[in-house]
Amino acid sequence: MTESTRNDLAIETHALHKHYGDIRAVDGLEMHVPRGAVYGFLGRNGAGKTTTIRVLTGLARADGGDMRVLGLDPRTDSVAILQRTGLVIEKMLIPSMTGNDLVRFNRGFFPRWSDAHAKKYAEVLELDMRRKFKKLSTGNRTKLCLLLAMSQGAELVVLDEPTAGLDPVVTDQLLRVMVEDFTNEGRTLFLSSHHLSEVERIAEWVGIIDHGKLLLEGRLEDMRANFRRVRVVGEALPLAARPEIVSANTGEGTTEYVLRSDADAFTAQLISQGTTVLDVTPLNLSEIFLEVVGTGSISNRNARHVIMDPAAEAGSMQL
Amino acid sequence: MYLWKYWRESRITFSIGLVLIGLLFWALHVHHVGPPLQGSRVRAQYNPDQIYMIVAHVLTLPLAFLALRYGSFGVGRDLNEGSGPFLFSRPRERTFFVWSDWCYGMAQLLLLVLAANLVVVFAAHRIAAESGPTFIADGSLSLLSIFCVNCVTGLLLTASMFSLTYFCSVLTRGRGVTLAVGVIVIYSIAGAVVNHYWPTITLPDLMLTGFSVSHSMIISFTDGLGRSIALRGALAMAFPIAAQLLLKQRDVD
Repeated sequence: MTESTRNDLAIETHALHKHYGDIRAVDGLEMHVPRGAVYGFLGRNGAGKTTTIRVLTGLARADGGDMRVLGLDPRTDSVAILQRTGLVIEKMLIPSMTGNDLVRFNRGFFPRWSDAHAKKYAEVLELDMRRKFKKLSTGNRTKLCLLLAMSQGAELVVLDEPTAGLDPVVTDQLLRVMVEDFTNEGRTLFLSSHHLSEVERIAEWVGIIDHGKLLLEGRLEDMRANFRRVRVVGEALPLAARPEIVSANTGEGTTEYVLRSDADAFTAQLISQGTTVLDVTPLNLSEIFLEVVGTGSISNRNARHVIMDPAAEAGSMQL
Repeated sequence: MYLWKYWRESRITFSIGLVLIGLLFWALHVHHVGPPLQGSRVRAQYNPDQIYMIVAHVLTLPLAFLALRYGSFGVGRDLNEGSGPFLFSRPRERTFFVWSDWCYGMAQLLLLVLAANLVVVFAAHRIAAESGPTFIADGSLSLLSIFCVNCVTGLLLTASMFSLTYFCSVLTRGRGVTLAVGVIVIYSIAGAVVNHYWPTITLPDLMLTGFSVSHSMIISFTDGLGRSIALRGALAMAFPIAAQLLLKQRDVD
């Protein structure tokens, strides 16, 4: 990868590993987050999302592999990274401080801190800044964490499950604020979640992690354009041999394929072999996620399905 | 800004310390609580230097308890309350947090130790003034030198307690006071056991005694005082260094 390509990536990992005893929380992670993108980092509970974020922000030490955040190595430049990164990970701030206290506390750490932004977010999110953090509801705690992360003028904001435990109204408020501030200002938003509908609403790029490995990474619109479910009736059908097949389920005389690309060519070939194609339907993100993380019968968890390589994409944008 | 956070956590303990010192001042100066000054056997047996020495020595105990409390503030408290990831995702080295906590805590303890000793030394002055200058002449050390050494020994004791508790708080993520008290109790028991079975061996006392009093009531510095001070100073510094190393190696969750 060229230096210019690297510069167009906000986050980049190569063969990243983090183990807790025998548990491989992050297991050879290959990830590329383009600068200025809203990137949805998806995975089931325990897939390795939070551990990845901890390692990337220097809260946990990697056991192996390479990584770059804003072009810097978290192992040696964590302070410089944190100066330019807003992070919401545990949603636990200093319990005895009020919102105003936390703004005062945080301001001193970040040269690009904006009181005007903090005030704006407090109004938009309807936050009572005079209440102590420990007396806030879950939703208001999350809002306050987000307020602090977004007011520090960060180039990159990393949010770990930002909408967990929030009601739909608050979730909607948060998503709107995030979209307005990040899509317009060219900052990078890295959003980890297992709420697929929320990610689908705002993310341009998606990475799906399971068992510490990134199984799929690419532009969301490319995924929608390429992933297809094909139902067919016929004999001597191909199963796992072809690379475009994500899963194949056989039952009640029909076979259902999920393809990650080349659906037209695949169906044309089946038809030429005398197979009856019942229907070809696109998949939404939720369906893609379910197929990729392994509910399909022949899903290959060791395969990394790259719809569009963000590194190559960043390089081509550079050109 | 970070020191402001530590101040928020420690201000009640600091205020309690000041109130206790105020009560001591009130007792010694307003109500003249203490040995009767005129026509008493106490007057015949002790001079103000010794009274000050004893009172100041006793004073270090409540100060040491305050120091235990101080050790539970800062990073250890944040790890206990779950705000560790927030704190350590502020753009500063972890070393910064440890040494900010330690220096600010020590500064407050230094103020408390100085204030407590000043209150007692004023009381000793009053005793000297009311009972005549001859008493001061009885001692081989000046009140000022006793004051200085008492401040140093008091500060070293509180520093050791504070540093030990601070390290234990980082180690156990918030249960530092319990562990530190346990360590002190075990050390005391170990000292007694060693002394019982091997009378020639004596483990260093946590509470440094800066003076010895001869049969003729002459006060002098204890032998090897400088070495004892250096040893305890090194001990007090070892714990924050250990806490720093521990935090550097540890994942924060």
